Amino acid sequence: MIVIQSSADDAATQDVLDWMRYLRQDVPIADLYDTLPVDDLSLYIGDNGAAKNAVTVNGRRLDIGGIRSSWFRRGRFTMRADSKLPSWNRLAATENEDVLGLIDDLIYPGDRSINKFSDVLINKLKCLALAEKAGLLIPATLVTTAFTALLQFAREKQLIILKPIGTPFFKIACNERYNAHVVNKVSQVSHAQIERLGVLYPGDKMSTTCAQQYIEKKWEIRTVFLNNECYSMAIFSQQNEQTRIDFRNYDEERPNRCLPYSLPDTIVEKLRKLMLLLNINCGSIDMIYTPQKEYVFLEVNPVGQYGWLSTHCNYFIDKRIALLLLSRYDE
Amino acid sequence: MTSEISFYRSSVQAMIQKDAPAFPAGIQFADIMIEDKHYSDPAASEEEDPGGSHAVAPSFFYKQISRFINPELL
Repeated sequence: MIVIQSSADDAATQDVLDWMRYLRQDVPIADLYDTLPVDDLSLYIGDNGAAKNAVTVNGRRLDIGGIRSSWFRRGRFTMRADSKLPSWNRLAATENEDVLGLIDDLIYPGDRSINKFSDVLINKLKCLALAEKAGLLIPATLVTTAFTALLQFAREKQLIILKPIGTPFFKIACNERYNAHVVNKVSQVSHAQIERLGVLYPGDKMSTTCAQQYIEKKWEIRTVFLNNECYSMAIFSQQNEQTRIDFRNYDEERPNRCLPYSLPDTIVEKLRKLMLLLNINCGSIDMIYTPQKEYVFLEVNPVGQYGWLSTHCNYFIDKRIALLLLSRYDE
Repeated sequence: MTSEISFYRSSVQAMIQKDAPAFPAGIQFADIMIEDKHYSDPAASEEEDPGGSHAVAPSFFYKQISRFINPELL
């Protein structure tokens, strides 16, 4: 059996499934979507019990031993206690996280899987540190709760980027009709702008802020890393004011020009080393190519979008994923 | 409607400034979008987020973008 876990509205997943059905009709596929409850499970650790491991998810039984390849893209499993005692439910939730972690490892063992649920929880700050360890250039980065430290950083670098550490959205309910959505997007700010914020922080304390040195770019590079190979695309976003800081501030009227791109072997090797350090085998990597002809690593999203890159560059990544899953199934 | 939207947007802006130490500094440069829950546009479901910048965030944001109104664009 091949397990594919995703969200029901993810077009990329359906493209992979289409390829799999086109290439092979005899392979049983368990496609699981969105948030699914774990109904029951029996997992044996040691004592040669692995063959008996089974999990029933939303009424669907998965014999772990029968899973020959798997792909985590989106979605999650949940387990909850239904006691009337909230304190017990909280304790059980902690225990269940451990069990869900074990299920994740069993369904997505790495050597036979593409991504796993725990990849979603990647720590972007640790990732930067590991990128440097892998030999990649990274932007000078400051994580601080002290406004004066931020001000000093901005003074040294002149132009900086403020970026969210985690999710960039939060919602405020205004009334029954209106919600306010605050989008903490990547912002380029000058030392003078930071200086003007000083009045807001009389005690110097602020919530943890991530700042990076602004790096001039010739173009941006989005790379899909799959099965130890890099599929890259150059994005010419620098000439467009809307996309100059971050191509993801899409300009729908005048889309950025995008071309297939070959990374130097030395950079590919460093990316392989980074993915090994991160223990993830698939992801979307963002980099900058500078006027000084340097490659600067920005971040990796383990479950990022690739359909857009694949279409622009004719990489057929959906087909490659289908073939990879099928080849592991046949091993 | 425009004045209501401007009012809520200004209120959120003021709240973020007043409570600045509770937020990261970048929030002072954030976009504030007002969602009208009564508005619906079936065509909006065709929108997508091709580069996946918001993969972690609720996908509905870009899928139903037309429900959101930024007064600066009015």
